Amino acid sequence: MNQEEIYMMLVSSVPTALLIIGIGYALPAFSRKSLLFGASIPEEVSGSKEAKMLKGLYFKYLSIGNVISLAGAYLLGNIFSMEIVSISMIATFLLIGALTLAYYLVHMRARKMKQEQGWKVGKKQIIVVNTIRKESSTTFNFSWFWLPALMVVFTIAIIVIAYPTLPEQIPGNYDFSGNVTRYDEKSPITLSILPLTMLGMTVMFYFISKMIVKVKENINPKQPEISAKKNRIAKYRWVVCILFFAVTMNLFIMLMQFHTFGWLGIKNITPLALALSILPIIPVIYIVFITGQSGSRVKIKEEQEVEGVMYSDDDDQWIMGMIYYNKNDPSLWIEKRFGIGWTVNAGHPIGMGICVVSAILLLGMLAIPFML
Amino acid sequence: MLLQLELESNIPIYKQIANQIIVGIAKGELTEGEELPSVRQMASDIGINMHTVNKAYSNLKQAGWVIIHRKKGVLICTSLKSQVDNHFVEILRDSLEVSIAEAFLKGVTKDEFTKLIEEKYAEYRGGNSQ
Repeated sequence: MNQEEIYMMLVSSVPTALLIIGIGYALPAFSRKSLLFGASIPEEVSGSKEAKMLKGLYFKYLSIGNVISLAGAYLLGNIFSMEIVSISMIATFLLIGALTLAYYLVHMRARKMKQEQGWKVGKKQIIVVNTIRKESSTTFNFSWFWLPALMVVFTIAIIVIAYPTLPEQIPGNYDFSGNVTRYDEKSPITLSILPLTMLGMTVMFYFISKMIVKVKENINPKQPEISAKKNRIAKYRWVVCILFFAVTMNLFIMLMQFHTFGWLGIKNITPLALALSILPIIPVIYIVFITGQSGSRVKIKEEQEVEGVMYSDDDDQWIMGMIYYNKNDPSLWIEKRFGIGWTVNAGHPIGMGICVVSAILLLGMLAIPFML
Repeated sequence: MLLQLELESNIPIYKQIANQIIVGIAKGELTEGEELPSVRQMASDIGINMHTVNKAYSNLKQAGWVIIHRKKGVLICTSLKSQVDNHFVEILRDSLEVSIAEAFLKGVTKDEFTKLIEEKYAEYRGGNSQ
């Protein structure tokens, strides 16, 4: 291994692997209480002996899977004498695969157990819907998105004004020590790549925020009023987080662009680049801890719980407890079944398209290490 | 307001939506002129077909509880009180017939029945029964 490879491993491969492993172990703690490994259950059951048993089983499967994945990636890498980048890519895929498999096995057990134990018996299954659905009800002012948009305009304006004074050769790539590894000819095309990336990201983050505001709320029938509030708080926090993401990413790209012009007066940009790419992750982690899925971790004053009710059981709409497939539901986006975030409705034509395209991309990426 | 729907219930979903909106208006949880979610938004929130929500809204529109505005969407009707007419009283008599008969046969006294009605009236619109 040369120095470059060691550096690469330390900043990319090892953290990625640790992140996936960490997420795998943390996931059960971040799901809603009404979902036991993707099986909808009455909340009262979430602390039962059976639920704890399933959690133990999941950790066992996951640990076995992780060990096999890491060993497998190492062996495959040796057999096909791959580069460190390829090995870590395979390890990433195997680790995700192990996580998925562990979840799937426990999901099926949970669904079977739910029937055997009769957890649903005598419970009213209720879907709560808020009729106040206007965007303004999240109290987030979308004009804030002018801030990242203005950063794009500012960057483009600066480039246009400074264009005649810029050097003819502009760095196009750096190595980890900050040395230029490639120069590009100065032209309107090479200089529009980064501003266009900024523009694309800003538009993408804007639409993600709109999606978050519109997406289905999961209001707990045990505490409808409180839960509706928690959903709104969660949405508000996520949109603020996405805005922060858009601003820091744009700042990051803008500084990178100015660095290529030699304006920042720094020799090695790598530390700053790393810092700026880690910065937006901090609020995400914070939000995950204090908000949870549909605001389930939000702390506000609780109200009297309604007895004998549970979320409507929609297990059958979830293929393997992972892919939402509901042709009747017009929603494209929906909250994930396990963990935090959103996924698409594969029963929606666009959702199906997204699934197919990502499957092809994934398989393509999986094939790369073997072709190099 | 929060609608509470049961997919497993014998009452069809469109009926549940319409009924709860009417009760919501009576209780003052929905105010005159208030905007309701679009058909798509409501269907997506419940996770059901848009036709079902459409049916609920068109029933409400026919009964005069909501108006469907081309630009603003579905709104709670602003002139609710003017709609008392003899035809409605006829329908009311018909729909109460079975309930009263069942109550009578089950041994609910007239006083108990009127008390139930009074309680409900007291819940509506801050209790100013008219």
